[in-house]
Amino acid sequence: MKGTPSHSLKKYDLEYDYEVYEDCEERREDKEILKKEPEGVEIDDINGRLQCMTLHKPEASKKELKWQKHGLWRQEQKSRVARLEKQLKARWELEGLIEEQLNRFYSYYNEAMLPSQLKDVTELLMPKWTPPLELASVTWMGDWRPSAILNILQGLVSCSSSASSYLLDSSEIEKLLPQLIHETRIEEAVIDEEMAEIQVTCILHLPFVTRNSQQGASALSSVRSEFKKIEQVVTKAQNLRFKVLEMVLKKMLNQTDAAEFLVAFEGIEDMIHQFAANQKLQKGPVTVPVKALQYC
Amino acid sequence: MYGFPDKRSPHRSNQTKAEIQSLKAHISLKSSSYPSSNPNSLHLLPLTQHPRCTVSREKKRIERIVSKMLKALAIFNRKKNSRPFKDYYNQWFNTLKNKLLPGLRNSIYGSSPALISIHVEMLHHHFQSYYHALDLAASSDVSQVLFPDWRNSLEKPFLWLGDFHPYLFTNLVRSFLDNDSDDEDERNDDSEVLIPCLVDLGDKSVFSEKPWQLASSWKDPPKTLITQIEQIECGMRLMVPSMVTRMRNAQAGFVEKSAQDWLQFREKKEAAKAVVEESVKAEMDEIVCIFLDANRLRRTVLAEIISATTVNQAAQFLEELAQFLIGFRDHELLSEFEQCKTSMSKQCRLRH
Repeated sequence: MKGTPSHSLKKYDLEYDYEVYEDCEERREDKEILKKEPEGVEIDDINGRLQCMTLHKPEASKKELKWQKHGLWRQEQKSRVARLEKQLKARWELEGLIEEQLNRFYSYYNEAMLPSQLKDVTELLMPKWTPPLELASVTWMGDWRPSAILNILQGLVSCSSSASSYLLDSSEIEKLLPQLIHETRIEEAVIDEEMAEIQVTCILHLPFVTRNSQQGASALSSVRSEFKKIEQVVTKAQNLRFKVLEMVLKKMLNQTDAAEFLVAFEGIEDMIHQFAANQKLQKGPVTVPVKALQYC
Repeated sequence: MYGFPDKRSPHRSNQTKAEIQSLKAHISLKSSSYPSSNPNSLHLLPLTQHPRCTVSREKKRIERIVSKMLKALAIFNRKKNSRPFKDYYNQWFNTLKNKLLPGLRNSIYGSSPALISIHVEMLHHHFQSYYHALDLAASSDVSQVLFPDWRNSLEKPFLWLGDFHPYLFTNLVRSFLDNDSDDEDERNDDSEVLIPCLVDLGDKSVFSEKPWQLASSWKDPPKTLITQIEQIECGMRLMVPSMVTRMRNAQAGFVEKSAQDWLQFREKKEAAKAVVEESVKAEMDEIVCIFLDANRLRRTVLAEIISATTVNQAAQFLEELAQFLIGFRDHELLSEFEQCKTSMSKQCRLRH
């Protein structure tokens, strides 16, 4: 569990505190059990002890004390192990949750959002449900820019090292991050190149250019083949995004930090989304001044 | 042509102005009729009932109303003096499709070849004015220009920073140059030089053959043209990657700052909102600069191509470019496209 106390309240701190509180409760219960012990399940045993005490009176008090100490020790041992077990379970639970979240990302990118129609490919690239301001500020190929996911981590880590410790193992990550961001950006650039190739060269295979002017079915088939290429590029972008996320959650961060990262990621995304959605409502569709247009 | 939301605008605006005038008069009347001649008597009154207080309160109240109305008027005027870019684009497109392209074609294939240069100029100006309007729109809200809802789903994937990639212009020129050398390679007889094509002359579509001077205008292009195109391409190769990098860096800076802000203001929603607003604004300012640079590149590439080519070449280039844009909005193809299913199987998208 977390060693250094953080001044900010976090979900998991709350849980931790709650558990400490529960532990106190347990301890209190332990004592009660100890008090009740003579009347408890081990009553025969105690009867035996009492008989012993009557037989060997001089040593009886010493022995009684030892028995009691041993009982206490065993109880404490039991409750400690129970607490450990509980923490272990919580850890497994946390791991399960992180895994589940990662799988959700995977299935979102690879199953839920799988285009069934050609126009869905466009929706993947420029989703209508995301406000334009959000698209412009954080996205690349229709969703979070993979290297920007690492920039989130960088932001969290840089904050951790100064004031509050949000992530535990920040020093290691701080060293690793620049290299990883650099590598991810190279992969992004490769995908960017592929997209540009479609936008500047393959675009001329569309049926609108005079020399490959086609009508009807053949026109549609050339559109389809270009959209297939676009879809492949989008898929590559999604895979890169998922790869980065998987690397952050499974390889770079320990379990607690991974959970913290997921909470932060969602929080930041929501913060930007709320603002962008609000702006969209306030601003309305983009306009141009009529006067300026007259002089165009 | 494209009516604004409120057609009663002049009347309503006059009415609002009149109201504001009367309110202003009211304010000046109040403040001038204020009995400042006998200030001593005022000290006897409790502060809350102080005439100066009530007057100033009243004045403030009216000022508030006036400022609200002025704001409303400003928004109203802004609406009156500006139009949605979507409307502008539709009108621009229709002018291109129904007026300028048929005009250019008439001059190319019709009876007035002397007018080609005028039509070339008109079409070129039309494209330049569109990019100018796009600049204006971007300065108002660049995010909507980068993700334009006035473009259909067939066009959108081909957009690079809000419009077609500037490489497309030179590639179109290259397609003419390559096309011609292809023709030369496989030439059997002279009839191949004449390229039959369906030409839309506005009111009627005719099968026409390009006049020989047009068909041969790309033949044996002078070295200077090829050198100039290479120079334009070289310039783009230097500029395009820097724009992509700047875009990425703007996002990286914004995201990193947002992460820090989120940590700092998690519990304070209002403060967080103000901080986000500030950093989004900074990011958008940078993105506007990138967009304006991209658009400037498109504009200059277009202008350089027009000036590097002969009138006949420029006419063909612009015809092709216009046809290309119009093709994306072909109703029949678009409706077929929108119903078309993808054939991609799940195997294609294997993990990694």
